[in-house]
Amino acid sequence: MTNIFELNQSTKDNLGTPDDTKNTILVAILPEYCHIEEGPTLLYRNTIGSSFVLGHATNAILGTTELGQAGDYVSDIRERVINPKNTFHEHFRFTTFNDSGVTTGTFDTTDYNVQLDINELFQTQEIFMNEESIYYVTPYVDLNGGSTTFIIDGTSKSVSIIEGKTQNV
Amino acid sequence: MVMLTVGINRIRTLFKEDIYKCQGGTGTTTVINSDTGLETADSNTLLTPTIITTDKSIQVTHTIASTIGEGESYSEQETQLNSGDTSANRIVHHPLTKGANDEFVYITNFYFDSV
Repeated sequence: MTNIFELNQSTKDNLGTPDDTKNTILVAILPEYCHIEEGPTLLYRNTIGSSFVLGHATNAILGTTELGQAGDYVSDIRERVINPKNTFHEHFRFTTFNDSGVTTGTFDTTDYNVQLDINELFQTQEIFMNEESIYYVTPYVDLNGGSTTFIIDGTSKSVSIIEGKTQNV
Repeated sequence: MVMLTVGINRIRTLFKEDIYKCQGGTGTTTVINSDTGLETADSNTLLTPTIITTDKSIQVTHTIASTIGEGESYSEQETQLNSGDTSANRIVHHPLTKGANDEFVYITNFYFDSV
């Protein structure tokens, strides 16, 4: 005996255009883009102290200032780091932001990375020195076994990075 | 089909060779893409930068000597192209007053690549 409910169901399923979305091939448009990226700008200050500077109002007087670079000359006093779109992106092309006094790993401007052996450190100089807020930091770490720790100086934030895991601070 | 590294480096070199001078200023308005230059330029700071070239990147260093701009509160800076007709970029930062014994040095990196 025909089941009237099954019959109605069959009639409904065959109405209209068949659903063929599973046959649709989605072709992604993948153009190649060539771009210029404006990197961070560092503004630092040197203070010449009593160095002799031609044209200077007070430091160009023979006998009162020290010829050449004086002992009280202080260089590389970092004052500002300005990041386009508030984003610092280290390309490892230049050592401008590497803190060579702390880093014991190899800052490699040929292969564009920092290589760390066991217990070696990599520390940047200040990378945000303006008025922006820091929302997130994304370090890319290629681990060959073991783990490492990522620390944000001046905060209590740190995270242990373990191979194969994505972790948030 | 890909953009070759030598091709990208050629673009980098053309950009580098088109850099004319850098300049500082005292404007404080927020940067937008439609800016055409500095808001309040200080022509005393219009100086030839030194440029370092590496693979797919350049570094532009603009030094303002101690004899320039004493007492000015600098807050913007640009890199100019094409004999000064065009500004490649404009940065604005928290103002910094230049003392009589201060040299200011701006270092800006530009990167060229394809994705």
